[in-house]
Amino acid sequence: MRDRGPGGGRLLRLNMGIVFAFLYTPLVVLVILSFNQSKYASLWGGFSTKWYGVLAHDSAVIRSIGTTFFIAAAATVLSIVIGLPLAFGLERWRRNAALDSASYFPLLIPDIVTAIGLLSFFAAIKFPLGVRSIVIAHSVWGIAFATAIIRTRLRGFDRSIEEASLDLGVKEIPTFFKVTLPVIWPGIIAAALVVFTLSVDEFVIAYFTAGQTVTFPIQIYGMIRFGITPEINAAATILLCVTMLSIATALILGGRRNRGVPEEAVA
Amino acid sequence: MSVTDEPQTVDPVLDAADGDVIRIERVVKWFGDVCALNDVSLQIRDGEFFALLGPSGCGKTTLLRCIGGFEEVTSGRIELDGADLVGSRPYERPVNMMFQSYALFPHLRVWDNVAYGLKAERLSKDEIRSRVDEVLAKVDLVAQADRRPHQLSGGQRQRVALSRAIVKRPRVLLLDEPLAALDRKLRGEMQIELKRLQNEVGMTFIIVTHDQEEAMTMADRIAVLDHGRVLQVATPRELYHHPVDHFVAAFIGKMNFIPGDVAGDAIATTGLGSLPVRQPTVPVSGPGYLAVRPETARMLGDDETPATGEATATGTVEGSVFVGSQTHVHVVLDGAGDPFVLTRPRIDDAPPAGARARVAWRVDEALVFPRPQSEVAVAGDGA
Repeated sequence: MRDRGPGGGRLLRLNMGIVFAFLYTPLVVLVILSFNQSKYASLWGGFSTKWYGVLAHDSAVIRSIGTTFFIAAAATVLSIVIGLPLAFGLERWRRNAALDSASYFPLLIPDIVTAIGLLSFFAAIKFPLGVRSIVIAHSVWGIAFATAIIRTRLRGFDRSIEEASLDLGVKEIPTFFKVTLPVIWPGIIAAALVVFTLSVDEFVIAYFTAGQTVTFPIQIYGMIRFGITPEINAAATILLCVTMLSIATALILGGRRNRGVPEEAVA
Repeated sequence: MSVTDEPQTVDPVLDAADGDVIRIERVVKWFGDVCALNDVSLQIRDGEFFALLGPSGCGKTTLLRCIGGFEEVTSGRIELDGADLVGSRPYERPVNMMFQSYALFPHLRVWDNVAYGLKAERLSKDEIRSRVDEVLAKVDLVAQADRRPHQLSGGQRQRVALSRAIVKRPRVLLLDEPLAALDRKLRGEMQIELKRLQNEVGMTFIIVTHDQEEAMTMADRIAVLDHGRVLQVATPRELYHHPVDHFVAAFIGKMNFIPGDVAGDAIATTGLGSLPVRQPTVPVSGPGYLAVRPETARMLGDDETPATGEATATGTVEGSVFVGSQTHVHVVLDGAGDPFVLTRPRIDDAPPAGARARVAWRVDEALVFPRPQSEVAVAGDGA
């Protein structure tokens, strides 16, 4: 494992350092500037949390955050309610390559295409644009994500525990709630957190299907037209923290996969 | 299922008296175009430790799953205490299964795993508590009652799976390779333990295993299966001493086979000339095998003459294998293929490799079998 060519280790480490610097410098700068006393990005005026205060008193921003969280929550519930049975169907009944691809495809379509398609669709059926249309729009890829994540959990699922439950006198539907659901629960939570996070920061599709509704990313986009203020940096920092927290939770829950699978019998 | 509607041909009086808890009649099971069970009929007696033994893919697990209700038979009947089980769901059958993977509920503590099936029966809290505690004490798991399955050792998990099934007090307990995941030493201990437990609870056990030694150790009777067919149902003793065919003889214990052509009371071999055989009740003739158990054969001294009733064969010692309590001497008989194995109690008198040797066995202890049809066909193709 540790077999490296002479000097190869140092080069690799340098390469890794550059890549990570490239990935994370913008984020670090963003966070630092959100604590900048000065109004100007080029000038460090000392440490301050005043921009967070300004943000807290900006009623438009607060309202947009409320709207965004409501949309994210609704899209998450919808995605899980539809994605869970879909995951079961695809994993347990029909193994079909075409169906499989169809369930993943919404993840690969460029957002702009989805956005235009949804806008045309809503216009065609005269569906009023607003919070509800964004919820539906976000559920389009939310369902695809939820299905994909729950399926990985189901794949490692030892179905003999369901048989054991039947054998011990519990019928099919109670077995689902007593055995199946508790075991795949971490997968469902992980899926919900991912869908929620993606919905919170989604801009393109929301912008197209929002009508008069202002979500948090749309609000920031509006503010940015007057230049990047530290207030926007503060808002972005909060968003970053929320995202990292829920992704970390999703990873931890998703990683507890072996709970559902009995360890391999090592003879 | 038209088969289940047919009138019973069995005399009901006889039926009630014969003590069978399970009757399997002409069961056939197809998976697509694969026949997993081919006309299987078996009777399992009340309180019996019964083993389904065979190589992997022989249909033994399928048969167990048909009894448990996890597979539906294609045709045939499975009766429990005279009532037809075909078509009923697993939770409607008074049988319980111990799964090969143990199938413990990973999200429940040991105690709740064991209580799971009793809660489904809607028993009172007190009764559930006393029965679970009693069973956990029986399998020595009281100290682990609050643990989750992933915190247990393999042997402990095996005992949780076992107690979860027996706590239901089923009419019949089905065990699917219950010891396969344990290491060799633990497996030996658990064989004794299972047998003790079965005596104690007085339950009918049906165990599936591919390990003939395991089946011989524990079972009262064994059904040997191959390719979805039952070849022989007998006690371990009968199976060992009177196997019905070449397959059973080879599968149970160690057997030496000398191929040849059987005619009357002799088998004509290629390298050993004509050897005497004792014909079974159904005489064998044509291509066949002479079969000799290693422990019934002995090695003749240099100028020793065989006793009356003994047959002899000559060969060259290939080597000997020391297995602790005894030594296996491998002798390649003249003109015969696989080495002839005979057991000797001690290592120090094992002849050196390359030495010429004569082996002898009692003709009335040796068996004779026709060559299986499949091997005859293969041999014919090669010629």
